[in-house]
Amino acid sequence: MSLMTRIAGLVAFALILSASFPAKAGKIDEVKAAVQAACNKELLSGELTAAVMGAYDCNPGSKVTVAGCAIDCKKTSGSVVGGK
Amino acid sequence: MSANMIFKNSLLISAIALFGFSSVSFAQAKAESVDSRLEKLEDRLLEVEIQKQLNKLSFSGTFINRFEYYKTEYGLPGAAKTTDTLKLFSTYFALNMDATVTDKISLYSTLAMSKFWNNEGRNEAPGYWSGAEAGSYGYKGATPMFDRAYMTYKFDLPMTFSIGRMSTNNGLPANQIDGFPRQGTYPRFSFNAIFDGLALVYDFSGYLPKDHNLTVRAFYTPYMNVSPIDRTKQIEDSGGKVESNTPMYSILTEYTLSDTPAFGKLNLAHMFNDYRNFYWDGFNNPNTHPVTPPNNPYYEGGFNMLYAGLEDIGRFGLNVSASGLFYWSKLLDTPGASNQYSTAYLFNVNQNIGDKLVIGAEYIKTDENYYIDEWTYLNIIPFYKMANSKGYHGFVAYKLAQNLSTRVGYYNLKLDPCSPTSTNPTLDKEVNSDAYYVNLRLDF
Repeated sequence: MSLMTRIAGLVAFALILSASFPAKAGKIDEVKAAVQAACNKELLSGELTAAVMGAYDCNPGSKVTVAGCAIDCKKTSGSVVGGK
Repeated sequence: MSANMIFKNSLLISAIALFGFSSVSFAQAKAESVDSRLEKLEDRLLEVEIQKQLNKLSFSGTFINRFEYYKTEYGLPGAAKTTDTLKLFSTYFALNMDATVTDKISLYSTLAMSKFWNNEGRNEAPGYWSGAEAGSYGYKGATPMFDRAYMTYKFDLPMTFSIGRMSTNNGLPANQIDGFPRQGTYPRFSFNAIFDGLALVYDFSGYLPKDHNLTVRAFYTPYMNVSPIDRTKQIEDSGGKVESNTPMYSILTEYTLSDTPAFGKLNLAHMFNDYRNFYWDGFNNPNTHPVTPPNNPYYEGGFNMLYAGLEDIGRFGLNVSASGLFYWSKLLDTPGASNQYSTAYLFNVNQNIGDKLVIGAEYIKTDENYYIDEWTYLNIIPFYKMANSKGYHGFVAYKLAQNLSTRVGYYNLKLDPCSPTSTNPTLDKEVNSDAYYVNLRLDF
């Protein structure tokens, strides 16, 4: 199987997955968007893992600093019925 | 062309051919290597996606170890006082298991226990309803209880429907004592208890300017009164059969204004509560009433509760809040009984210094008809619970490391005797209590 076929297969696989499950922004996209909105900053690829881990490993409802930018903790806990 | 030239050209062609073949071999090997890595990548991606779909539960929790020195002196006015001194170590553990079932449906649950060290099997909740409201907080032992088990459905409108055992305890401003974000739904000075029921929450923030939030939360949390030994029977009281349902509903309206130059957040809340036919199971004779009909009181009542809080005043981390509880109740099984009214206040001020240190104080003032469902607390001293009381609480909380914090504090609480007409006739004593405590809290 050629390299191009493999890549096409991978893309098709991703497309099938995205079609199979409800369209939903992933954790990386959510953190990227939050940092962009809060600090107008584009996360570098080298910052992504630490940023996503930090944004989800925190006290729900608190602010957390990732890649030098303070954003809302992405972890939810259901502490408040109906949210916030 | 000389033989020498032919030999040189042949050598050159061979070298080029060899290089060409080597390049082709190298490219093929490289392509195979990339193919192999892509194959592995596919497998790993598939694994991650499958795991993501299969593992709907996420886990988190709280682990608190605590020591409290508590001394209380009590007795009739002018008489010698009795003293109790307790030095108690305790552990509280709560495991949250939450699931995002679909984009619209979430499930939240908490399994928890609290116990004094090497002590088991206490039960200080006098009735079945108060046991339900206390959940795991009664220092009953290592057997866990579900303090939270509810699902939420999000509509396409900014509205959610929730049903089950909800997180109605540990509300504002209790979280500020540790420098934490909001931890519960009902304001602390309205109820500090766990309620089963259903809720409809509408978020009007989308209709308001940026940084303004308005949320209305409506709750229906009826009590079920049923024989503790036969589910087909009503409870029997000396006054007759007890209604099986105590209708109770609450409406919590909250407004917040965030991120102004003068403060981080203004938080205003009003809670209205109303209940009918409340049977105070266990009030008089909790141990024998399945056999001998007791004479427990029947109530109706409710309250208005106001909360006003400013957070991060001057953007220097200063938080100030005031809570007022305006309660009324009436005995239904006492002919000629009139409405009893109560007014009580709780003030909280705390200063965040950096993101690690919180220093603050609370002051409480209640009158003789004060009542609050205060069941989910870990302190020994009943600081927020007593009628005709005045008390203050000083505390320092410090974040030792990520997710690990400690708090030390001091409580003083003084109670005056209630009058004979008070709805709290058990409080006929003068009481002076002090408590020192330290706790260590891990959130994970």
